[in-house]
Amino acid sequence: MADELKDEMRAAPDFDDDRLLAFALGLDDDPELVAAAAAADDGLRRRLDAMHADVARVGAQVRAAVPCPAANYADPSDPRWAGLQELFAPPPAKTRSRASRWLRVLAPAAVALVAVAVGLAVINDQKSGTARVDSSLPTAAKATATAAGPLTGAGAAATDRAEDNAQALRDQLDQYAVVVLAKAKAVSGAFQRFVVVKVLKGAGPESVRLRVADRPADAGRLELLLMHPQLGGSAQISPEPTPVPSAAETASTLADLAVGVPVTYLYHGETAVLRELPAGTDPDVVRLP
Amino acid sequence: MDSLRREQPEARAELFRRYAPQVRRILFLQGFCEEVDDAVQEVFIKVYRARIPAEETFLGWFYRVILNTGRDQGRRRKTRHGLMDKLHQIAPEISMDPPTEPSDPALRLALAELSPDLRECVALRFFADLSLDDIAAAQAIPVGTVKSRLHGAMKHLRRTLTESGFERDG
Repeated sequence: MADELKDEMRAAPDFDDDRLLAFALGLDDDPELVAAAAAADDGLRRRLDAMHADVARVGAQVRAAVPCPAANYADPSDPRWAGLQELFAPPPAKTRSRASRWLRVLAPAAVALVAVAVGLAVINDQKSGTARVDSSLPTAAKATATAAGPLTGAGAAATDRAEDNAQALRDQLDQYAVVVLAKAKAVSGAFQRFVVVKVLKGAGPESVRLRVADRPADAGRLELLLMHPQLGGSAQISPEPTPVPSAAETASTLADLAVGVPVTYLYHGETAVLRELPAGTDPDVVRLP
Repeated sequence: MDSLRREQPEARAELFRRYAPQVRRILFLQGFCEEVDDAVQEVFIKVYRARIPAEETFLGWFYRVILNTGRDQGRRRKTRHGLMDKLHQIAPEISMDPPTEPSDPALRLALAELSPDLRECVALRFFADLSLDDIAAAQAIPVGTVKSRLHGAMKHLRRTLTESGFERDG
């Protein structure tokens, strides 16, 4: 250990006054080295003690050059601090009553609550108006409207929506005598022709010409077409488009495929319902649930 | 410091009682004499009315306000000239707490000869007992620069004191 210290001291630079001053001021980057060297060298220790004394003396002289002011100098009430009295004084008593303070706090909150309530009411009203089924409609029409499902249910879970669609579709299939897969042709005036590619239920024609009631289907798209409501009547729905999953992402059951929003047509004076199937759907794999 | 932010008068008064003497000494070493109380008042008005920057320590910010006030007013009033005379003439008169040892005229001269940056560093070290980090924050400089300034200032003061023979006789 002693040898190591000697080696270190041999390698270290000279401990000149600048180094000792830095050490005495607490500025030295390696104070342990200086302390160790002083401990091993009486001459260096004496120089270091003298430096400490010098620093203390300089500090005392600096303090003496600008002595502390009088003891009452920092009395905040002293007239010399007139400019600060305003800041030392207690704040003026609140003139507003506690009730008005609460009013100031609660009023914005109340306004916000009312706004939220009104917004929710409007949203609910829109939802119920969209999904509402007139009680005078026949059962098939109700089923059609029900099958449309929640149109603004962005927050609903996807699984819940799929189950609802499947159930609604099953109900709907029961209400119609003929269910076919058909490809849409171009719209001609108020009519659109569909070529039947597969009959799923009942006896269907090779092609049908439907009167557009809501909006036409995309030409060339495979559609699930339900015709001849067994209880008669016409449906009134106002569906909006919903995302349709690709065929690759869905099972090939009809309940899984027919997730499109029902679109109403008229066929020989009766309601016919069309459900868009995902692009690329193979008609051969589509079967009734 | 939260009390200061909440504008509690008693917290302000306590801050003033605690720091006003230090502030006065620092400003005095920056060159203020007759106007030093005005400058002290200005410092505390700034401190009470300003918001402490979130990223700063109170001490670093507080002493920077002091230094900046001293610099600004010093530039306006040009009172640094003759600091040595003022230190000699005025400082003893306004103190009711006489120093334990007389002040060496040579050291007062040496103090006046220091550059303002070095003198500020000495003031923060010996009047406010700030750490190197706090001095660095107050002067907005690196710690290494603080070390260099402090070392240079002390070297000059020590040499002056040694040459004057005051240390041996005092």
